[in-house]
Amino acid sequence: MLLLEERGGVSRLMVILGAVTGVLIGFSLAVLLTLIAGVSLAGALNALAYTYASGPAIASILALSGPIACSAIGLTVAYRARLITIASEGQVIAGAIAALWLLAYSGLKMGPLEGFMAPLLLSGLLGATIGFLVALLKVKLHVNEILSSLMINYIILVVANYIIGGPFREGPFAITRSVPHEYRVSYIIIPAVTGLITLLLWFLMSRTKLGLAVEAYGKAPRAAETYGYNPSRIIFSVALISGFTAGIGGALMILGFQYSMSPMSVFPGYGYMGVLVAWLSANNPLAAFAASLFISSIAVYGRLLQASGVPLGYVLGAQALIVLSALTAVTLVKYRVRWL
Amino acid sequence: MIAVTERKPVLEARGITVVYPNGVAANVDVNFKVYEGEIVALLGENGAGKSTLVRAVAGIVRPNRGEVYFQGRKVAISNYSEALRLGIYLVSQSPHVFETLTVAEDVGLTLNRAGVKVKLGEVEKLLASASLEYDVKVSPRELGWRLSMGEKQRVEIAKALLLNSKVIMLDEPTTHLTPVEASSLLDMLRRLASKGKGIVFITHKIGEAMEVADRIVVMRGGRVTGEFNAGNVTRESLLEAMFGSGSINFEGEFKSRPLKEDGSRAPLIDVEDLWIVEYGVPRVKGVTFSVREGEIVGVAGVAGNGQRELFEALIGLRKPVRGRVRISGVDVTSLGPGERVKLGLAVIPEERLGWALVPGLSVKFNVAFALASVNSGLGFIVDWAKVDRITREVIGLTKVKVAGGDAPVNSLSGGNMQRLIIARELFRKPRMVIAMNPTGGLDYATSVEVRKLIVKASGEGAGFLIISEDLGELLEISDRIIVMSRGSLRGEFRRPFNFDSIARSMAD
Repeated sequence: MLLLEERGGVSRLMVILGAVTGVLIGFSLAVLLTLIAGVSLAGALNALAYTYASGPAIASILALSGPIACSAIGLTVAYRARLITIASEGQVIAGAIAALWLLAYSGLKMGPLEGFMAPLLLSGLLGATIGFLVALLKVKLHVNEILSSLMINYIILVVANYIIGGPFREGPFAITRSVPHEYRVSYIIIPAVTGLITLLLWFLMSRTKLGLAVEAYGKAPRAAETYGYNPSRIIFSVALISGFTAGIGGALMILGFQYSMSPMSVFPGYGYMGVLVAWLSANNPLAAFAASLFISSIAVYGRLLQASGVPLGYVLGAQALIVLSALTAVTLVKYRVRWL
Repeated sequence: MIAVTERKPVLEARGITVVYPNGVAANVDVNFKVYEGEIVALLGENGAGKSTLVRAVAGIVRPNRGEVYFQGRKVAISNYSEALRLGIYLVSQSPHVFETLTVAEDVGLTLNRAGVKVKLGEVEKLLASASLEYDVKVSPRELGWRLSMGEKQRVEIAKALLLNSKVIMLDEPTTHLTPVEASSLLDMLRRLASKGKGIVFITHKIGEAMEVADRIVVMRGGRVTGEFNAGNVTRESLLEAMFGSGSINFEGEFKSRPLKEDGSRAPLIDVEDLWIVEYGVPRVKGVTFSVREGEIVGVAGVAGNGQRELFEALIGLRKPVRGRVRISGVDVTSLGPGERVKLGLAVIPEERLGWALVPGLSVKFNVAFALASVNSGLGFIVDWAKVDRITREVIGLTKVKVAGGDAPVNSLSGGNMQRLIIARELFRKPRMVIAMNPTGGLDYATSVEVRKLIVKASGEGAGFLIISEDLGELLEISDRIIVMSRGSLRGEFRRPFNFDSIARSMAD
């Protein structure tokens, strides 16, 4: 029997070094896989170098990280309270549609500051409303939040497709209008916004009574309730917070790089990536910020591989190898493997 | 005596030291031996290091230092399979018998693990012969889940016999047994010893050790504190080795406490005709009582007679179907725990980790989260420097042994966790405290300390309701004892207590 025995006394630095080593091994494996796929060694290394050392690729990494980070950081808070929602996917989509409506369909003329802040706020509120629904179902009807949020995602998906192909359609194809140029933001704004959210939520979790309540409730619900915290209030708080940030992620996507929307069948699932990132970062908002940059870079690397002729299956395999070897390395740093 | 020292030990452990990753030194330089044909009792309180010692010898725990000699030869046992192969068998406190396998399959699995290749049919024959030779009655075709605890132990012993183990170690084997099963187990151990097996018998019950053992080794705090020949040992000397000198005379510590006159004082907790129903079954049936300022009221009873439900209803985790609960004169029947805590109620639940404390987090977090929800001067934004100060004060209040506020709360021993919980709850200057089994699982010396803390706080005016399975504890510290049986109150007693009448009403 295989046994994982906790080593104990492993410093944070060791864990980070382990993760970095794992990522490097993962990239070597990914390169190996692309060689098997028939790409030359020079081509494989080139894709890697281009991802991390070229301006356009780095700009894409920063831009893509926006919706991923917004979902992930909010989810770290929800997951700390053991509210395992995956509504972030629907919240990103809903947020994107709200922001697009405000900027391209509402007919409102806004200055640069309102044109930036108003969509974030509107998208955030819509995301929070969806979060409220999940929390309401859980608190009042004891519906499992994994199921309800998954189902809510499907509903949002269908509604979004209807809006894109119906009221928002421009021209013969199911594509919406684009965000006017004056409202579009530079890729550098995106990590600034997500960084700010990270710091805010980190402060909320580590320096406030709400943070104490969330942490206690997640690890020992009965203790939290016995010593004076209201479970329903905690669940609503984290559902609203995570919904708000994921909604902002949708706005950032529209303002930062997507500009218009097409049917959801081609949507890459930033909200679900956020779920992955939140788990990877052990529900630490600071780690989630870094991990979303990492995941976003792997997404960009995958696109570059595909552009250089690697079949999609190999691309997904390469991405998976990188994430898996990072996780394996961290596990091996924290645990000793024994045969019994 | 002389005959014993001339024999060679079949198993000997020298200088065993085990330090767990959380820094707890469970064994410190322990020397221990077992001779052929003798029963050694390993006696000590919970947490004395007995289980760790046998687990280290059996290769389940890796000692940081120390050597093991088997039949005079130094051996390195790196896992339990190797121990089995050598002839060392450990029967753990809850025997490992697969629920979904038959006894024969289960036994066969263990034999294979020890490197003995046998077919299922042979196992059945072997079991039958073992049953004859040692009177180990087990039916080979029975499924694991149908076996009682005593039967599972017999299966384990049968495995040891089939492996021809030279040393059989049993970890608290009588804990889950009925008295009849326990005495038949002790008989069997004597039989095994008479056939030359070395038996190690872990227990925390002095009487049991004196009854069955040839030799008694006492452990305390990870060290061996005494070794006695069972023939000429006294109960007092064993107690002293278990608890340290001077700890025996704590009985009667609280006898001199002045009696509280009640009637004049206002009731802090007032319960009126309380009914609690779970899944249609009434658990608490029309309970009425009150606790006054400075009074310690004990709720006695055999576990499972509605005490836990009563506790949960009083702290607000459970809604009664009928009746009324008042705290400081305020009707809190429909209010949650938060409102009750704000009225000055402190709660000491029976489970330390997960109910009283949040596992996996620091000591200071555990102080902060429980104090921040009520009038403690910690606002919405938590001032961690202030928390540090409060934590130091809390730790000092009951002398919690801990490196500091940043230490993970899981690294504390049970006794220190309880000190921390009581200190935290008393720090908020509660008007009343509701506690359930406040000294459960603690060693005697720590229990006495906890009781002293309770008595002291009641002297300062707090009212205590203590629900406890330990009648001795209640007799020691209560002003009044109410007895609960099958959900109802069966009597109310005042000091000086009459043990017999209280015990009778518990059985009512």
